[in-house]
Amino acid sequence: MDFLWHRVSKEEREEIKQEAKAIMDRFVNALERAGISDIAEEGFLERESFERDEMHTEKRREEEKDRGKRENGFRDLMFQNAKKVKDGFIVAEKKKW
Amino acid sequence: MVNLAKVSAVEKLKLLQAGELTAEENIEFFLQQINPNALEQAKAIDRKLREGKAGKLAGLAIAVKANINVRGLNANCASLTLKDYISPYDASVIEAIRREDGIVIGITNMDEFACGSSGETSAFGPTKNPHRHELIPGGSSSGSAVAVAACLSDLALGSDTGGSIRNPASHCGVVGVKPSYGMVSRYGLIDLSMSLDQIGPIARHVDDARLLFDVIAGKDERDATTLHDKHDEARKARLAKRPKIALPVVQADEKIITAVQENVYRIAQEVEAEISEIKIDHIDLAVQTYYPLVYVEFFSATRRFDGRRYGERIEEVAGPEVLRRILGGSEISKAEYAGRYYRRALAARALIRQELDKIFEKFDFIIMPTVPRLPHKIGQALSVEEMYAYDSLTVLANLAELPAISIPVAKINGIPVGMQILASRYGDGRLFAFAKRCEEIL
Repeated sequence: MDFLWHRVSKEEREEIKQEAKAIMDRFVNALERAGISDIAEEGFLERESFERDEMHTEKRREEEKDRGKRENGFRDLMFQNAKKVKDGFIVAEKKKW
Repeated sequence: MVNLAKVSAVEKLKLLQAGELTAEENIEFFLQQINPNALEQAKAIDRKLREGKAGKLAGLAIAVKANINVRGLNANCASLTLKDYISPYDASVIEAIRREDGIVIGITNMDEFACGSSGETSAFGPTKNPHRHELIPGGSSSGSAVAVAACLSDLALGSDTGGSIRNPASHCGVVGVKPSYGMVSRYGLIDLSMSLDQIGPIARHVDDARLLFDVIAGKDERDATTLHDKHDEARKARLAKRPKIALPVVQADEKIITAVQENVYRIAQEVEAEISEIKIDHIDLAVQTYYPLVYVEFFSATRRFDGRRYGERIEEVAGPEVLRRILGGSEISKAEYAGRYYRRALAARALIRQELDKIFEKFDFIIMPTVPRLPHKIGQALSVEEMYAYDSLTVLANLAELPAISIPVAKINGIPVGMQILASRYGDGRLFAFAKRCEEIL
């Protein structure tokens, strides 16, 4: 198969799903054969402070003020991106799709 | 005033020949389509340069991969999902670039949602290798590497999850850097796999890549993975007097291995380095470890593309490789498979990380080819696993959160080949210093 983009039909979608599972099975079988267990360590992230403190410096407070000025228009762009807007709300019909 | 967007090329030629349109006006029109703000920004920066108040990137043109949000531009991730999506904000790296007066010249093509290693999977067409147009440029940061290689910009930003900066840098004959995980904020990057992604620079020279890295690296409260105290350490460029280089046994095209090894020995002689050939345990499981993690994390990352607040529902419009990862990720995330796939891959990742950490207790750098084979022809048939195998030498750095750089080392049949250098975690400064020395020697 080639990797050029194309629209995927329903039939191909099912083939892709089966193929993806088969590939994952082959990969994980290789890990199992190498003796790798399914018991993993927790995440690697180490840091001294675990709580976000966005306003802990004067510099940070100034940056946030500037951001407020820069982000005028954020709302307009978000509404521009929305499919359906009504009376100042983005309308997203639940379960439509 | 004629609307140049609605005029055919043939009609435009008549206007040009009649003097009703100038060539300069026409070119300026196209530049405005790429980024309407770029020229105005350039003029403002010229004023700052005259006043001596300009930043570290003043006036430089920087191309940005289409999965990084640049306010007002189309962060489409090369997908129909986001084809009309206009970024409402700047990613942190873009804010940093703007603070230093860099100019975003435009958005570059890529593999769809960074799912690829070839540059073929974009919904808007494949990217071509500037050295040989029939060949792939590599991916997923294909357009960024090509923009730099073809001199369409001074610098570029890409993202690297399993080699997506280094792979196209190798195929296109430019420098590509994946920083240590947590060095560069991912805020504003549309993620492929959040535990592996990093944004990094692509440039024609190591010093240029370093220039951009120094601007974009740093703490960011909006990305908790950058909240460590390693940034200063990572910037220090101490080069050991007699560096110790590890040359691992790898599976790759013999010509590529020979090209890299010959040059490594040449470099070692010049810098009086010690070289040792080593074996990395579990290196043959790198791809098998990487892809289950990516499948699951990508499935999770794409739940927001439901077509309700913006864009289209991703499952309805995505190409085959994106669907493969979403459907595969969905399947192996199910409760009945708990442990079998994702946790096992995490355990394998931990082993690979430990192995590489042990190597860096004895060595300063690991050097190997960037990619195991030469680029194939655009549209050539490959199996999925053959395509995934392109990543076999680059995923190690992502799995272990290490900094890695690809620099051009040779050409085979006119096709560039890259050499990959890895350093220990947060050794980005040392990596740049050594890579620069290698570049001077090569």
